Amino acid sequence: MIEMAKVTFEYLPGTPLAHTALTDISLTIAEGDFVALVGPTGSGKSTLIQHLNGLLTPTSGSLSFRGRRVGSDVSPLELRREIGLIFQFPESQLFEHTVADDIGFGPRRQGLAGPEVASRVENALIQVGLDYAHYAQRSPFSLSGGEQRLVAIAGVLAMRPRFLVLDEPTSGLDACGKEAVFDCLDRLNNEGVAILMVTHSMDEVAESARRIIVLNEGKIVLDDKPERIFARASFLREIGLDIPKAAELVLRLREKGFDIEADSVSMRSVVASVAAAVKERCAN
Amino acid sequence: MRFGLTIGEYYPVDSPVHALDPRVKILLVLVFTIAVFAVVNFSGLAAAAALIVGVALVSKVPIRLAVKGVRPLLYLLAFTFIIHLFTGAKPWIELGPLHISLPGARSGALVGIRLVILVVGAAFLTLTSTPIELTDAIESLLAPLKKVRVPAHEIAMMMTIALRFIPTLAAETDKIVKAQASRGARFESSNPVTRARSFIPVLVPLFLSVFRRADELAEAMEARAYRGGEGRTRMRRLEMKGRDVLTLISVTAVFVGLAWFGRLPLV
Repeated sequence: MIEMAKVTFEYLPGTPLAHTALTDISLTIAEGDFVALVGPTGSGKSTLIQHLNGLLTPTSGSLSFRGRRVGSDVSPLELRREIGLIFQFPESQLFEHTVADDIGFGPRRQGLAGPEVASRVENALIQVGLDYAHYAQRSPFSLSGGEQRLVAIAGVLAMRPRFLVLDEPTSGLDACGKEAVFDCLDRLNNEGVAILMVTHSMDEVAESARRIIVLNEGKIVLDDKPERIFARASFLREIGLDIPKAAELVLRLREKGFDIEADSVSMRSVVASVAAAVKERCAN
Repeated sequence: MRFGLTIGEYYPVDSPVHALDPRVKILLVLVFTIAVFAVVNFSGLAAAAALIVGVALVSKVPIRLAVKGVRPLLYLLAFTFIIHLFTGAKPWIELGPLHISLPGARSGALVGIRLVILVVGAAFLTLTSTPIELTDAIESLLAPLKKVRVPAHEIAMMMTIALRFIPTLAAETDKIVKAQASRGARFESSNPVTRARSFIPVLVPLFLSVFRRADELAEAMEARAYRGGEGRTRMRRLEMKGRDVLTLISVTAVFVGLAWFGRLPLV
């Protein structure tokens, strides 16, 4: 479990350029959860996730991991083995001659032996859905953008984190690449890896997340299940966020007098309940 | 890890010095440099220091920002001073085969103080002019050399681009360092070889991105029909106003006076 208690973070404190990016953030991420972190540009999402593996230290407040306080009981280095952080456009971190060497970088840094590194590399490639025999010995720079992204994600998975934090994992990918990333995240989550994902795309949030945290101007303004968050469409629009197409469809049909029950906001379940409502009306 | 540049930081306030034509500022720094080199007594150096304090007051720039630029020079200063100690004819203190001479100590101190004054004085150029103003000014000052085929515009354009990309590359470096750190990379080994090797995961992606950016920028410039300096008009035009000319002439006169004063037989 990751726990943030009253975390405040200020960039360049004590200078004329000081700027408070996070104010009084308290949240917990449970093992195995799937959480989406959304918020308009500049709301502090990236700053928040950089705290989660010790790249930034809170100006005030504290962060603890499994009950141990980060900084005093757990070193950032230890934290990074348990919590994998994947930045936006992670393919820009690739640097080795072969895909296998690049993915093995993290495990090698941990001081693991050759065979263990090799097995982790193979596993990580399987986890992201890439064929080991086909990719391992190729240069990461010869791959497509979507493949590079998956290799970069595999590079973090090879550290065997129990928490995975991702900043806009699908930005700049085509539909196919997006699907590959989401398949991978769903698979990991089924294996018990907790996911915290920063995203702009509300449609993606609706499909996978079990909990949504909305950040605005450095503060948590909403923290709830997706269907309850998207019920507050007008508030979300006010702070510059969208709602998923599926949720929008339900709202509009309700305005037109359709009686639609929607306990989930994923496209599939909404299609089913809309179909049911339409059938009912036709029957009458 | 910090990749901040301390020299050449623009200090954004409104002051008569900031408002001055950057070409005038460059020329005055040039004249100041010559004048300070002409000074051979301590009274002259004190006068030069007083002039710098005056400039600091008029420009509203805290003088400690300008003095900060001296820090990287400390080794050079110490080295220069020590070498000078052992030059000069009249031995003062004898250390085995080495003779420390009084004239040597004097000239060492002169050279050292002179360097500090030059660096601090020149710092006001970059503290009070934006990099863009400076490159425009350099292009304009080099313009006469176009006749002998010096590519003044291209030189200025290269400087502009280089300056423009410093913050971009600093941000990029910061991001890559963090990304590799979260994969377990460490950059603080005390062994210099290990430390140099630990930067490979940062340098390779950084170079790749620099080349990619250079390509993209070249394409974007060509797409906008950029073809170098010939026949180009400017959005920001430097205009030498009466006030600028007056400042150039009067301050030059002050610096000439400084050189004359610095050569008087004083302490």
